[in-house]
Amino acid sequence: MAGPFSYDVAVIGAGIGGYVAAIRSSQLGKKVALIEKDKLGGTCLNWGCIPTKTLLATANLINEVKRPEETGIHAENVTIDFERIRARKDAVISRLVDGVNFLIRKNNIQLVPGKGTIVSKNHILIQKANGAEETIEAKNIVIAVGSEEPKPGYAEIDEERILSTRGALAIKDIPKSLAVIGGDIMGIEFAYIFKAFGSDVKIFEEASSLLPTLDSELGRTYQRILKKNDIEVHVATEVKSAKARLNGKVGLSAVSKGSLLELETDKVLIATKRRPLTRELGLEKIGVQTRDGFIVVDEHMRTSILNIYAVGDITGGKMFAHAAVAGGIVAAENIAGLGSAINYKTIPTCMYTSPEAASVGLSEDEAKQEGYNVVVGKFPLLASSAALAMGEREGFAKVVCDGESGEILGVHLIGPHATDIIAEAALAMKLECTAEELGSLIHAHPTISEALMEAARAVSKKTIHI
Amino acid sequence: MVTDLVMPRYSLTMKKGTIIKWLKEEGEPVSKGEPVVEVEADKVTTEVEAPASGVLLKICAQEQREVPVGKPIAFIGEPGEPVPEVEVGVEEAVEEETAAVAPARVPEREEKEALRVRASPLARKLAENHGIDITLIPGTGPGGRVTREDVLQYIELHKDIRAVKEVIPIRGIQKTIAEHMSLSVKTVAHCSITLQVDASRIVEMRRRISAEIEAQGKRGVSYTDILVKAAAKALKENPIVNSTLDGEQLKVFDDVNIGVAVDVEGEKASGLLVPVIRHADQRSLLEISEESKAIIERARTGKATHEDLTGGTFTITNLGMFGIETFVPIINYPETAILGVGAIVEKPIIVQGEFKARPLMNLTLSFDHRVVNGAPAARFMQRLKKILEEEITD
Repeated sequence: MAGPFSYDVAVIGAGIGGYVAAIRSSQLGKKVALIEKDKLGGTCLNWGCIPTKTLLATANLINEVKRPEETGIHAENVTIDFERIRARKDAVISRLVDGVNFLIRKNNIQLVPGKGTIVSKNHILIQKANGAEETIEAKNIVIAVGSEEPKPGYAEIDEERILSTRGALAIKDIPKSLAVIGGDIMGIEFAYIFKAFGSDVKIFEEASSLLPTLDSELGRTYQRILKKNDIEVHVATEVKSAKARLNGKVGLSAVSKGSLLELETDKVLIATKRRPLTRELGLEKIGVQTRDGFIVVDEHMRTSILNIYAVGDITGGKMFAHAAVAGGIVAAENIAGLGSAINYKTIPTCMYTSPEAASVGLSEDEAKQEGYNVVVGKFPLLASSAALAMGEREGFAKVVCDGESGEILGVHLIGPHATDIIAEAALAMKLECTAEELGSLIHAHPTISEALMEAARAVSKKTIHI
Repeated sequence: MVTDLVMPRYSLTMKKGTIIKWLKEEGEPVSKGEPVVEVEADKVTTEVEAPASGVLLKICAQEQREVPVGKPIAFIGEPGEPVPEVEVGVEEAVEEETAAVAPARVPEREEKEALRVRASPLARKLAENHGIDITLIPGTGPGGRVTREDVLQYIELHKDIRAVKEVIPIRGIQKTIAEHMSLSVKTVAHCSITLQVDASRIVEMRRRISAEIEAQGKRGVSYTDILVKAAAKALKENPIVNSTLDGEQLKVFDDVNIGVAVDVEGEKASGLLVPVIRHADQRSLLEISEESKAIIERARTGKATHEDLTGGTFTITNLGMFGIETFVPIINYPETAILGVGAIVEKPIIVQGEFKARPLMNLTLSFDHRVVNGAPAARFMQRLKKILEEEITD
């Protein structure tokens, strides 16, 4: 029942934040339009998490068969059919896009193809691919247009030799050598994938450690793991220029600790922080407040205009698919008057390389800066029987606690299944368990999750297996 | 074999005790009967002895922690022997807390409701750290669960806008007093009567006796000692005042055991204590005085026995030394009456038509009107006045 409006809710962008907001709105009895200029599923499904995850799955298998001393499997002449790998990736994407399509139809959501521009607080102008235009009238608007690949000043992305992450996923041949710029999750994942496929990989990170947004022990440990993996890591290194040369290669120059670093590589991948897609949305005209291009929202995903909401990458902060899903649900529920709020404290951060890395809550340094009397419990996977049985040694579980109350402030993991186990830590935090409860919960043996239990016990110096 | 050292029970009403000080450390050898820990319960600090010889393997209740009666507080055994994983946990403490504050007459279901406070572990811990009764905090989580945010908000809302000099946790003696006092006021039908006594006889008597015994190098007798002696006689003759209401029955005591409220400042105990002079009616004034001093000294040094401070049938409280002339004391529940003694002040009164200066003293009896009516209470006071003015001897 849209009253004077044709729609209760119009969602711009059918990425994971947008289609979730649309589905939840529909479930709550709203009449919903979903506007998309490109593909259903957006970045996550088409050019981000999902294709990356399929390549990572293959990369992990390649790495597995490459260690006969551990597995006892001797696979001679392992060859990589990259064509086949790409086909599988595309098949996974297409299957999931079909799934989203099905959900949209099932929930009676009106899919509106075209580029949406907000022209008033209740009107969206749709420009279709064939040049036709129409205007949609909606009581509420949810902006879920997402982010795009960065455009650095030091290089021009041609998607031939200088690639964005989107270009890297569409690549047809595996480069001999690859320089990855950006040592956060995206950069490391791509470095890991191409290393497994046979490229000679180097990572360049401006910050003083890898994974600079997370607990410093994760970055430090991962730097060691990558080096063992034969990936060259340059931290505290600022890339000055990356230029295509006549010989078909790319010349890269960077500055590290005051000295100039020059090298030649087949391809360069720009994997630094993504940019908000606020341009051409019409935000300034109607007065939606932004900061550095990202839309400012409150915990109810409301923008500075009462009936306009924003979710996902466009709001900055934690630019993860799962944060966009949570935001989409919160926005839809607030439109329906349910008054939900998002809690960023328990949003996990995950890296799907092997070993996996995952994190939730505050890092040790952040906790100290916030003035907590920090107590840390740690457990290395070297002492985990499950890890040993799997032939894994690298990694740890780390629990950051408030010494007075035992509040779990953050949990940081490296190891097999870390991206799944982090959910247990997030649940413990959400339900306000203290390290006491987490450490006294009986965990199945042998599992990697025991390491989390032991780390929680280590907070009060009650670890058993150390 | 590992032997449990449990929180002992010193009285029927004792629910828990507070660990004051561990006299032995973990790993230290102990022999059977040797004091291991100091425990405070019902205003008394007592040394708990080792139940067996061996090594103190593990302490599972830290100092200042309250432990329910019968729960292990430490283990004694052979060196290296494994001990059970027991910790006097947060939840347990909180639930005990809830049980203790639940008013006695609340219907059973509500009481159970109060015990089952839904709260996150973190919320419980925060409430405990801030000394907040978690049952007072409204929960906003799923199903009314008390969350971290709820506790923090409660703290914020109840933040004192007045400058706070220090925060003193009410525990041990003062906590027992607090519970005791409100129980008394809630339960007893308090009624008070005041009467003026001419203290000439007892002033003269005290001066004489004190002079005698101070000559022997001892401390003299106090007015309170004299009041104990006089009250014991009056109680024996008016036994209804020397009683306790036990359910539907009034128990009238044959023993006259008089508690004396004293303000103790000592290393092991400080605050309000009530040493009990047993069989006060059968003792001489000097015996009463000696006994009273001995018990107070034992309390001050932490050596008071349970008998020293319990079993009273009547209480006397004297604020005369501060110049207080009249005050209305709260009955030391479950006793029936308490006598408040005021200062002895020289005042003019009319004796046979003439002004005379006389040392006068006000006595106030607070009594439980559920069991003693005005007339019998007045008769007791009348008798007490006569004893003090005309009859008392050492």
